[in-house]
Amino acid sequence: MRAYPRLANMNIAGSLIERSWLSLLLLIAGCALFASTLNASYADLGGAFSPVFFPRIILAGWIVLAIMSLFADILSTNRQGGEQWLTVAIISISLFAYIELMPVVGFFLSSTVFAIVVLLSTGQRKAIDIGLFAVLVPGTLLILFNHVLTMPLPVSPFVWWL
Amino acid sequence: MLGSLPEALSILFSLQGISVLLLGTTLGIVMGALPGIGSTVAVAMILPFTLTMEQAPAIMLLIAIYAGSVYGGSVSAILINTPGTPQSAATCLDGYPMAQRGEAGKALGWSTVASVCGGLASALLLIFAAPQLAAFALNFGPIETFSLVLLGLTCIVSVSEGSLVKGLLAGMLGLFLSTVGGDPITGEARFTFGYFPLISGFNLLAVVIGVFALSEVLTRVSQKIDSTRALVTFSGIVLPRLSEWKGRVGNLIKSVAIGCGIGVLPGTGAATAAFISYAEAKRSSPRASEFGKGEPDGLVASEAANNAVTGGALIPTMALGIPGDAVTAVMLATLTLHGVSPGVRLMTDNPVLIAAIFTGFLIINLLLLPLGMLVSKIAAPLLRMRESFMLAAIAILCVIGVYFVRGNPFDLLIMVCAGIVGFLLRRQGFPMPPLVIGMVLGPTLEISLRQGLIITDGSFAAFFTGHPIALFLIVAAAGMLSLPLIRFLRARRLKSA
Repeated sequence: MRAYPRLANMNIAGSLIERSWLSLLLLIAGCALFASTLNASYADLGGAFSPVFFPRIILAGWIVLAIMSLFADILSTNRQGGEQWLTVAIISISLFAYIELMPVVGFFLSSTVFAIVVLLSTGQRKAIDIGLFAVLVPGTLLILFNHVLTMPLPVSPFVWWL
Repeated sequence: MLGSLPEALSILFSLQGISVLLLGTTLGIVMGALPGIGSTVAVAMILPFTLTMEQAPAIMLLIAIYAGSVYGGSVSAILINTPGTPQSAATCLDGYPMAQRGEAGKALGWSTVASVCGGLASALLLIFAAPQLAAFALNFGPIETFSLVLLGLTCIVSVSEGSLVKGLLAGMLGLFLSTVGGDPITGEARFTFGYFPLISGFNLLAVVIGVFALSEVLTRVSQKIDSTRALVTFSGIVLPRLSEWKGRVGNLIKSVAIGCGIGVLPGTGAATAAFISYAEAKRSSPRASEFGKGEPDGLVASEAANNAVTGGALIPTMALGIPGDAVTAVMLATLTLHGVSPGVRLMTDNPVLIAAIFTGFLIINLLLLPLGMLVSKIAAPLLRMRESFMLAAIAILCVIGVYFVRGNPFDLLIMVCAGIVGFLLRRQGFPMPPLVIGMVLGPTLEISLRQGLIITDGSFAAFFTGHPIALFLIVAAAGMLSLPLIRFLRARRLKSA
């Protein structure tokens, strides 16, 4: 690395950002939220009557602690790594899709698709195991909640019993 | 009340009475174990079935569901890191690490015995000291409540593993999240930025399930999953041996006392009791360094306290007609629907009913042990699935759990966002329990502080004068906060010497 000082500097900068980006984001968010309490048009009741009385105290504490956390991160030498980011991204996106699809296509169909995506992305390859799980677990839960406990989960618009 | 005991026992040991106690407790455990259903929904679901029943069995059924569901919440908290109810959030801290170590049966054994002890102690308290404790609870105004919640918040220091600054920042984040939505005094919308669904704020269970369970799923998949291994090894409850209780009985007694004491106070709740008890156990335990890594003391503290709240919460409900939380409010409605007026004359006007309720509550807590063992034995084979399958099942259960809270798709969105944010925060070393503690205690802290300041014309100094209970609690909170600093300085002095 001594032969490539620019590369070493980039590496240090990358490591610093990797360690402290969240504290920095929290600091910016805290400041932005505090600023929003100054501009908002709340009823001018004053003191403890004011709707922003308590949040301002909390946000002030948030900002101070975020600054301390940022310094702690900069001084820290810990480095994370080795995460399966692709799997995390696939499951996070499929979670959003799942909760968006559930009211539209019903609990059973959306859960079946979601289960298949999770199992495939986490390395399962046996089609029978995947198929059985993806049908049996949502099916059992649907019967339990919709028919035994009478707490209805969303059903499919295509097939009434799913 | 003792004179009415024979008549009360004849009601309890009739066929209907026994069926109600057995069925109610079993159903309560199962419903509590299912994430999202929780005590309030479970009691509300059963309420319509009680309308055609007689007074005593109807109320017994609801109390059995209540006590069973509080215990049941610990089952999913320990086995899959998904608290069935918010009051089981503290149980995750040591229960799940024990399960990950292959000691799920033992963890459930500790939690079951602690739950039974907590429930039984609170039942005895209900029988012998209900009127006196109800009178004491009336001394708690906003200033005393503020001081108590402040003391509760100090447990953030105890549960901040790794970095105290990050723990406190996570606590602030939780407190802030609790302020989003309608202002409790003026009703004005805060931090909604014109987005209508935010007006009712962030749902607590959606955030709890997101940051605990869903973030755990994402953390697990971010590491390489062994596709042949089961997530938890569990074949049934293993009760702790008598010798293992050595040095832990004091912690149990203290946790029960905390649970009963907090349960008596309207509006504080089991989650607060569990976290305060956990913090106190960690402060005083000789095994403090093991907390958060699967220490039975932590499990005993949270479970004994949250179950002790059940009996305590019934005291102001029955004796004063003041419901402590949503569950006891539903019970109050049931009493009224059955022609019973809760309040100061309840015990003198309905001695048989009260004797039946109190004795029945004692029996329900005794039933928790055998029924808990039975339910977990039946559920054990389901948990032997491989890790990938278990993670998919947990994610689906999280979605169901949050969907049932209000049937609101926005809560599901909050849960997924909380899960992803929780994963990122955990990855950067932020502990999640302080965030949940902040969110649980935030609303009570805010309302009691503002009410207190309005009462004292804005003078915070008045909180310390004329309010001896508040003064004691604030001094205790200051002591709890300064304790880690004193320990640190002492350790430094010893090191230099």
